[in-house]
Amino acid sequence: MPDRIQRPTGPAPWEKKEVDEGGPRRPDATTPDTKELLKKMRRVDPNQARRYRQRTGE
Amino acid sequence: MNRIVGLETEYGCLVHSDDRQGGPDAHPIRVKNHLFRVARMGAIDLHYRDYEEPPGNGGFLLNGGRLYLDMGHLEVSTPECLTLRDVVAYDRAGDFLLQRALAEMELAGKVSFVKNNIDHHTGATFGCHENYLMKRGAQFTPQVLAALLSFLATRQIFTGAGRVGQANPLAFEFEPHRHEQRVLFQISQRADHIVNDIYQWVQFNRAIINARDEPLADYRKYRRLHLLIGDSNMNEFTTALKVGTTAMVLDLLEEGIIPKRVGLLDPVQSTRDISRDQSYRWIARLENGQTRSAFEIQRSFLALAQNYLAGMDAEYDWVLREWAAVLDGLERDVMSQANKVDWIAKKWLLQTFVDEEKIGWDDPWLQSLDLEYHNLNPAQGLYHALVGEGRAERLISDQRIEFCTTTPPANTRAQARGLAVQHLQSLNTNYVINWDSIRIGDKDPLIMGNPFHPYGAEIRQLLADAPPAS
Repeated sequence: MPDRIQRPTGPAPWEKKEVDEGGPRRPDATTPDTKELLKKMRRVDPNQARRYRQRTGE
Repeated sequence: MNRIVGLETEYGCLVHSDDRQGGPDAHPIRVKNHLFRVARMGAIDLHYRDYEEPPGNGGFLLNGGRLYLDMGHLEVSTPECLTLRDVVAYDRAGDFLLQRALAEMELAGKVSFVKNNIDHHTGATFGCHENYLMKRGAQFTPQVLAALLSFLATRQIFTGAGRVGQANPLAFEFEPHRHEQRVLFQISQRADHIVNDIYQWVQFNRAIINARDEPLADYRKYRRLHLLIGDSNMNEFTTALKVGTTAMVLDLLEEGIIPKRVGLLDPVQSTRDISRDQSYRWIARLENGQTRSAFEIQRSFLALAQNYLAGMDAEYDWVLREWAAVLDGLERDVMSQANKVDWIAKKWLLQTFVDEEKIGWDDPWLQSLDLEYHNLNPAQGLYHALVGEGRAERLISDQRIEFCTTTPPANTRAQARGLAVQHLQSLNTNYVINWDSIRIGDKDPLIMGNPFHPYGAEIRQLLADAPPAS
């Protein structure tokens, strides 16, 4: 491995304003409303885990 | 980061119907064929790679990574990455490729790829393996190994993906032993399936550290640390912290900087105990007979990293800040980290559902919701629902992820591989691509023993000498 390189420090790449308005947002932890999430969860087929049936891997 | 890192993810496949024509075995094959033959995202293997990888089983991608079938699962390997930003972006690029293929094949509503590690009903497990290039000269002394195992057994408090229930792979049965307390939720998907600390196999005797010493580079200079213990993460922050903290700990251990009083009496048992402890005290027994919490052990590593690695580069400084902040947050209020850590987000979602529906934690519906957290389809998956509501921290834009599906990192040998894949799609010639070499036609192969070198001039010369395009 190359010898240790001292690089300039500063904000990590994702802390720079790289994303546009339509991109990722920081979380809004203040939103208490869970209505839409619950609606989405209720739509999940209760039996899908039984249907999953995966082979074992590594 | 000053280290080559790559992730290998095996995806589960869920068919949303009782259609017997296209089960979880058939769709991965179709999607693999679509990606290579229709979407032209890579160059398919023309040769046997080993007994279980015949020609056509997979190939290298335009981004320098690899996509192939492994034991019935579609598996995607990132290219060699030298920055945390790239590790996260290329890991997400694998997700993006699979989901886009389903959309192009008009299967998105019928089939889902699931980035998890367990099947609740069969006890099957499949992995997200981490690969870290290390100096060949770094010796795995008993002290170094004990420290590494301790770090890995305790990092799950901020890297786990969470799961409903438990498994008993040691007993080859999937119900709890009579004397074992039933586990309703635990923080790691893989903890129950890790039965050894260090071993060479990857199935049925999975170890925290896989002992296979296969550097895929100049073996005189490098070794590859291959980890089986990690969960597949959906949250980008979790992936960055998992890889970033591990890379920093390896930096310390390579220099012989080892924290005191961290060696565990039984790292495998501690892995399981910590995963299952919903009191969040996370106590581990040390080899000296004392006990320490996972917090204390992680803080021992963090303190050394702050002393020796602060100021190395912007990403490491980010890791140091976030590592400390997440440990503080977990100690203060575990749920405060739900936007950063997968298992906490999942537990919050499931608890919200349990409270609202007035069902018990043993309701089988929760297994299906557990699965749905990992569904790659943004229109269905529960992780993606959290992102949509701003409840999961993202680090990489969708534009960047899409860019990474076709463009290799510019600062590793993946660049040469990506360039070769791009050209070989239009050349009518034989080729053999490996992680550390490329052969085109009858020319001498380009050997890429140094993964830090992009081999730009060398690959251009090799391609210039190749037969003309068909």
